[in-house]
Amino acid sequence: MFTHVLTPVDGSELSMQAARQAIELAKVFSAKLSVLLVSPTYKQLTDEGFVAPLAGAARQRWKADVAERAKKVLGVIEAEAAKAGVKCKAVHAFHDSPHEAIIDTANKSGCDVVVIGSHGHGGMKQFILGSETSRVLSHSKIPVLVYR
Amino acid sequence: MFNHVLVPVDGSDLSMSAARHGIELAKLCGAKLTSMMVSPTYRRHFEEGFVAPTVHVIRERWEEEVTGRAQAVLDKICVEAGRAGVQCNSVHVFGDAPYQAIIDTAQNKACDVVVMGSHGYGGMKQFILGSETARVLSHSKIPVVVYR
Repeated sequence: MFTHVLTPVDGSELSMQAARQAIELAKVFSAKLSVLLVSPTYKQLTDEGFVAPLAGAARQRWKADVAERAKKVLGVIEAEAAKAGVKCKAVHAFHDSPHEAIIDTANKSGCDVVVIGSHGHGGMKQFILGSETSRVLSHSKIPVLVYR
Repeated sequence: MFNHVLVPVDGSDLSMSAARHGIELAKLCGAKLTSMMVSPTYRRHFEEGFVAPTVHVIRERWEEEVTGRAQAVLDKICVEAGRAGVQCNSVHVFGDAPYQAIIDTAQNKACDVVVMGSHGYGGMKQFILGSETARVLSHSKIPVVVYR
């Protein structure tokens, strides 16, 4: 029924729980798993004419730092997938609108279901759904499993 | 992973194809299936002073007809479930808030996942989600799989 599960995480507790459910789902369906973390792109604050010879270095350092943190989160899911005997690929993307990166990754990797938490880190519990989750729901052509 | 799948349908094509996915999911999980349909309650239109001795007869006839139509849709699902070797029950309720009936049924029957289409009959395709699907997503405590 499903051959390739995509589970986007942001490191929040609920997203990790949803990812664990995704592992279970992938196991039941003997499907592959892709776990995705989307980080915002680097924003440099400069004035016109401001000379920052170290800007490149700062950017590199920032990127490395963010990538390392993402790797840690993704590593947790990768390890749990391995334990469950599920083939897992971790993807880290830089993008300012997470839902676009999620849809793109789903298309590119040929995923046939998205498993996602109802709210991420930015979630305000009073809203029925997190902003990225509802955007994924609205743009996805493949089924979306929402955990809360 | 799931023990009891709830598939709310309204007879629309998308809801029926979501139900088929629900059957497939139940089969792979070795789960039970409950299909359900919610019909609006009877509304009587009458003027003051209007005498209608057969009013209850009309109501009964209306309810019978609606129940019959709902049962035909639900039977279709149960037949397909039976063919797939999935144990299937059907529930037909009268209610004016479908999502509430769906949530209540999920609770009463101890379902652990809801599988439904993104839009039903009332769906306006330009909206990201059908109204009832959005309400189920916002009120459900159990995971919801949304098909589109």
